[in-house]
Amino acid sequence: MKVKILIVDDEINILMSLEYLLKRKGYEVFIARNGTEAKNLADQHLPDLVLLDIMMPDVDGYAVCDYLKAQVNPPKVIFLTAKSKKDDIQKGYDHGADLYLIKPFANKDLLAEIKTLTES
Amino acid sequence: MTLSLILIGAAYLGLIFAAAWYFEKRFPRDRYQHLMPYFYALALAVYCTAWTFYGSIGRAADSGVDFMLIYLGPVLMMFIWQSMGQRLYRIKSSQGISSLADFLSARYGKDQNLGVLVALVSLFGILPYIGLQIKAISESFSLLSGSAGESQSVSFFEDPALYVSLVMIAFTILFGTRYVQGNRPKAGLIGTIAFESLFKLVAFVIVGAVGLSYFGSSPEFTEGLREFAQAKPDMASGDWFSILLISALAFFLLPRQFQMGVVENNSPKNIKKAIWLFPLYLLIINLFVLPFAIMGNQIFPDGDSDFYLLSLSMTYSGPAIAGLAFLGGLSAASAMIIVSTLALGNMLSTYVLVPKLALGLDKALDRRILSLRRFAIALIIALAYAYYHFFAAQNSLVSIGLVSFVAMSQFAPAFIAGLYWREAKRKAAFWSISAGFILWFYFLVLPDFASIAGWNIESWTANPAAIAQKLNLSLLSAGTFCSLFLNSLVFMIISLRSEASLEEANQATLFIEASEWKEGLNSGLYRGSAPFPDIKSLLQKFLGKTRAEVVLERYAQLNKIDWETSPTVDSRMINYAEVLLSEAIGPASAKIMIASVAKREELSREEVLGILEESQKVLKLNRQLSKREEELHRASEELQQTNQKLQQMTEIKDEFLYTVTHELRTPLTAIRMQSELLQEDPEMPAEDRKRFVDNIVKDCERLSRLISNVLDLEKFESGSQKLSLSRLSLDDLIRANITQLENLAQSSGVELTCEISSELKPTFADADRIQQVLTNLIGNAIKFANPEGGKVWVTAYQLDDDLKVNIHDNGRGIPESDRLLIFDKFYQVRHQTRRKPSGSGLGLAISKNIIAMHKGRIWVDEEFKAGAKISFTLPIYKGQKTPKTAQK
Repeated sequence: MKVKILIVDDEINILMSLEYLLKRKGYEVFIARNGTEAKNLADQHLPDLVLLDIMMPDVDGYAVCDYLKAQVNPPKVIFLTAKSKKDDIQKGYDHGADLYLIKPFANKDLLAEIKTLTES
Repeated sequence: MTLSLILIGAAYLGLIFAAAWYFEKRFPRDRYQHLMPYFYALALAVYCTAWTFYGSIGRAADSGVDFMLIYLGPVLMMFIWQSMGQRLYRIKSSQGISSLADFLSARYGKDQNLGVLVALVSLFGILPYIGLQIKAISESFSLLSGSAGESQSVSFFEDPALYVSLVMIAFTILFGTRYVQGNRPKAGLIGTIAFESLFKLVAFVIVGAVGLSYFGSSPEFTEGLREFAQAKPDMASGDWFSILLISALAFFLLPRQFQMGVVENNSPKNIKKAIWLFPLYLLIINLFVLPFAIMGNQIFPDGDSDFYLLSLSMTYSGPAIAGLAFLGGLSAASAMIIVSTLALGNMLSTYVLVPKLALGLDKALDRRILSLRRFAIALIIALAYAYYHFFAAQNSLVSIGLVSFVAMSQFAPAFIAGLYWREAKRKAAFWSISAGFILWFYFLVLPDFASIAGWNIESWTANPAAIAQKLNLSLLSAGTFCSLFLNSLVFMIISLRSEASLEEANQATLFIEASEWKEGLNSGLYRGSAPFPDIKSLLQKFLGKTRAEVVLERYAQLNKIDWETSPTVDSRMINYAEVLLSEAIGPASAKIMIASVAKREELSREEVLGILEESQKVLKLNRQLSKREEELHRASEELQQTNQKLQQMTEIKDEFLYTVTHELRTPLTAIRMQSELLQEDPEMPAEDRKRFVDNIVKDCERLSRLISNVLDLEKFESGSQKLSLSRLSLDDLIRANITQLENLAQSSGVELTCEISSELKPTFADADRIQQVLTNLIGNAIKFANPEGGKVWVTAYQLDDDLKVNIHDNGRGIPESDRLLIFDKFYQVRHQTRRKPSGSGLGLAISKNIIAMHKGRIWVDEEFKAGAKISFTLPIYKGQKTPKTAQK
């Protein structure tokens, strides 16, 4: 069974690139452009891992993270964000994230982290 | 009438005894302290004597409005009394001064002879003035009782003035000589004088108002007013000036004024209130002077103008009001007699009687000193009464008063220079006062004296009247100027040509720097010590046993000394004891007494001068230090403020930087990811490859746009961006912009229109920058317009002084909470987790800066509900020359 990954980002170029990258590595990928969409997709597909942006036009990434982590079998959550301050990072982990990655990042690093998290 | 007058007069005198007793014994202390500033201001009004009641009306009747000068002088003094009064207060407290003679004696090396001179000159100068008050009481009485004109026939014992004088002696002794220390505040005395001042004010106002209400509309008064308005003052300007001068000086040099203004003052805070209350008092009490003078001249053309107040009240207002006028005059006269006599008695006993009759005796002297002071008081009133009885018949009230003023103004050079001029010398003070006094006598006393004695002084070549005529002045002004001129000249010359003794130099420093020394500081010349029992017995001898115990106890507590274990006292205690003795026997005698028990370590002249110089240096240094300290304090405050501002600016800068990097990261991330994808997968299908490369190019464009926007904004905010202004047609600019954005609008499915008023005047602006604003605003509007059937429309029209441009869209509109924020840079980031769909987040901030530089305004229209509406204004072209550059 394929590992299911949900990508949430409002930047279309980033969203598309991530989707391309992960599909090529053999993951089952769902994409959401905002928080509401993300919640719906998560309910529908029960992803194993969520790549989550923080700044979005409607519901912010923290709220989405809270929502996901409140599920019975919560997915792993990686924050992928440009917010790079120490406080921001702390806040991300406080909301239960498994990893906090700062944009921009190297594709292979991201892949390695995903691999670690999904195989553990 | 006679009997009722005697009764009300006696009742009034009884009343002031009751008042004095009440204030001394029964008045609550805290309320007294609270009311003291008012008491002080009222007590200063002892300046207004019977002379105010009768004499100033007389003067107004004889020579018009110039009577006001006598009150204007003290009013002018108020401008400097705040600082001068404070300084005098400090000197009086630290030097133990209880009279004008003490003051001058202390300032000029604690000199006994100077004190004697001041006491005698005051006595000669003031005695006639007191006699004048007695005369006023007597004459007002006989006028009202109907015996006017028969004063010769009144026998000695029938003259009410005699009894008033006796009562005054009793009162002054009873309430003025309670303590051997002359400057101890006397609540009963001050309370009563304040009460009398209030009484005479109220009396004058009632008598004046009632009188005026009776005769104010009479034809005689109207006629008098007409004549008065036409009359021209025939006074030489020299006379105006001389009266103004002597009355200003009289405010603090008259013994009664010095007594009330300085000696009895118990706090420097009293002065602040007095400097406006006292002038107010003078204004009110003079309100009715002119009406009575005018009416009096009409009704009694041949009557005694000094008594118009009484005769007019009798004629128009009836006996009750006339009786009140009599009481007012009595209260004014009695207050003056009490305070003047007290002050003179103090000087006379301290400088003449005590040194001769008491100092040498070897027993307790406090009672004896008080007895001598009481004797002096009785003697002075007796002498004043004798003067009144034998000489005062001829002169009008006003002239004697002014002659006294001139006598007292002879102290002015020594007094004022003593406060402010270090070089002022004792010898100079002594001889200048003597010289001035002799000329005063020559000009203002001798002529009257000669006419009584039948001497023919007119035949002298330099007779006073001839000199006055030559100077084109009245005799009074000539006497004033000549005596004060010679006085000042002598003072200056001797001061500059003589050396100060050690004691003098020390006192000069203390007086001149009085306002700089800390409160209570007293630096005498003693460097040695004295046996405690000697000092104690000295204090007991002069202050009395109980009082001496009290002051010693207080000193011990304050300085944490146990007298039992200190057989000798140090120089500070010696100096303190000297001040205490000064309060009882004056500074000159106190100095001698202290010298008899204290071993004075002989200091050479150089040593003393060294000490003085040192203290001056310290003082100067102190002043500089406190100035420096102030400056430092200010500087550190400024620094703190700057620091805060800097911190704020740093925070803003940090935030800006963070936001910029944050904004840079997003396109950078996309670029990196896509590039890596391309790199890792050389076999990527051509379709995907093209898509990624296109995206990379777009993201790069976005990056460079962001960077140039950031740089733009930085330039605007730092002020380094300059505008190149020119006359522009806004119409053309808008149309060009719309053409440019047509493609974008079409591709977004937005209908873009404009509606521009045909009468749009040109503006004066930077074309490129306004283009930038328009592109920004219209571009935003297109972006935010309703995705289904989007509409954007631009309108422009003329206001009074501005052109107004509105950009509307039919989108969701701007939330109310964000309407101001959207003009902040990166506003969407401030709401850290919310984001605008796209854009650098700097467009509106840049637009706002550009419009502000044009002196225009940009804002969100809150009325517009169908979408968003942003408006801005630009000024109309007003024919400015086109400058090359204009800076923000």
